[in-house]
Amino acid sequence: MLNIENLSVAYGKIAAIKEVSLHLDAGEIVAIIGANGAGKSTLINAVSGVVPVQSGTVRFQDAEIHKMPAWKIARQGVVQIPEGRKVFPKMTVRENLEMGAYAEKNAADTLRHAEEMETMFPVLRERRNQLAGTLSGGEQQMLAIARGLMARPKLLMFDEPSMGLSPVMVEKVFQIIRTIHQQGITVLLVEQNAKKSLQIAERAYVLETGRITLADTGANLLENALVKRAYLGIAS
Amino acid sequence: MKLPISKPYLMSGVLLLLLVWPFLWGGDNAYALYIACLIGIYTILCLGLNITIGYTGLLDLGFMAFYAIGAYTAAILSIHGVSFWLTLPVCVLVGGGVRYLLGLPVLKLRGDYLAIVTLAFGEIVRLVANNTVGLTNGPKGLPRVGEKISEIRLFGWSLNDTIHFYYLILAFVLLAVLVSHRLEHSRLGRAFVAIREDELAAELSGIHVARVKSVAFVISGMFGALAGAIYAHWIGFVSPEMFTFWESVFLVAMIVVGGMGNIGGVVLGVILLVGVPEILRSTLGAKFVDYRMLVFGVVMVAVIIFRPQGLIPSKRRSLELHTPEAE
Repeated sequence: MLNIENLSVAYGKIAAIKEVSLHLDAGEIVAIIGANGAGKSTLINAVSGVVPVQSGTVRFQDAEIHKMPAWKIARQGVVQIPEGRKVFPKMTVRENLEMGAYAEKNAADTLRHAEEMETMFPVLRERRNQLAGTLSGGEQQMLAIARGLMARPKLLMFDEPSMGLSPVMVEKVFQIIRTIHQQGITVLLVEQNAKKSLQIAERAYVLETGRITLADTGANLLENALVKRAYLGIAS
Repeated sequence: MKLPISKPYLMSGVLLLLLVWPFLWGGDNAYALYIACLIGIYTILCLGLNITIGYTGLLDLGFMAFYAIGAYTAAILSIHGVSFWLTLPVCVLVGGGVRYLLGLPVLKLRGDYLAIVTLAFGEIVRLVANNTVGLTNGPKGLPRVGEKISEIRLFGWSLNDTIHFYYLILAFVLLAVLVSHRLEHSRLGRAFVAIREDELAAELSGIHVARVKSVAFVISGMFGALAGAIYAHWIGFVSPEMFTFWESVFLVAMIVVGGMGNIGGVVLGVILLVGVPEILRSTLGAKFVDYRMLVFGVVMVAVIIFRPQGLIPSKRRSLELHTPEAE
């Protein structure tokens, strides 16, 4: 479904990711783990078209999306839930949902979809007319996810969804990601929380200073001595 | 803020008052009508500027350039005998077109940089008007001696009195309010706000940010040119010194004081900053002109301290639109 080949991205002269190749099949849930500054967010942003690609290709289904602008990529069904949530603070919760479905011109359809989202995330119904900026961090994360789902994504990419959340909320967010995956949406998850990510991911890649150093199933990586030491904090 | 009466009634009442007041009192007072017309012109201008600054969050410090473009285009066409009703759409198109071309390079800039470049553009337009003597008659302004901006003809009569212009301007103010209101509550208007709130998130939501910004920019330019065209016909004279950087800043100040992104707020800002000094000028005598800027400064400081969101802040779409019953 998503094929990344030899992708390199640089900020000026500083290479952020170097010749990264990876793929996602339809219906999969794949995690990318790595330390701060390893290039995880850069990778997701390159797929989304937010940062320019230096070389390499990104193919989604049959389209070469690395040549497209970000808004067009989003309309292909490649949707990102950005790091730090980035809800529209001075718009209401409902308006935020509507913005997610911006490409959908049928208002009735958008309305029905927004109501589905409120069923999935009851807190968004309670807060429907509240400005998004007044929500708690966890609620904003729910809203950001729901807004992403409003775009009817085929591939949903999460950038650090657990960042800055309480342990209870982190648990909930991962539960939601699992549910979304079970609904048949392909998921790419970028996380610092390696343990949780590897537990829910079918496959995972380890990204170190811009290169992929390991690729295996989530379960195998959880048992990998290197991963244990570097990312799970388990001495072996 | 809860109003004691419903909004449609309030609006109808205000409209009725605007329509009849010249007959009840002050209709014979040309100065009161002059101030009312001036407020109307500035309202159209500020509603236009509000689309870029208020809705889309693009700080424009050279908006007077488009007022000037509208006014000069109207003056030049009118001197050559083109009718007002043909001049008007041409001015709007020229204003929108120039605005589009300006947007191509400058909309790639953000925040402060956009402000600086628009400021420079405003000065460029003024300097061009000042120096292309062949077209604009330079600092002496248009029309030249012996020329005349033709009168506006409507259903067989000519508009030549201030009261005629009062109703003409009122009609265009209503149009500007209506267009602003429709825009604010449209899908496009929502995209404007989303871009102001978070450009990256807007792009990730599938909004073609560059194009939507350009549309906002062009529409506001059209408002500016429209106001300029009417002004040129009303006053019958255009010269470069009307379009200084200071005037552009003044427009931004009106929006900030009234409440960015809120139509009512913008109108209130215009009334306060245009109307009150003019009214005080007549009551306190010509001496007051010197204190105008002092009062202006005090008002700005007071607003920033006590109501940084403006006198009537944008409520960002009220609740009744979204209750389940209403849907």
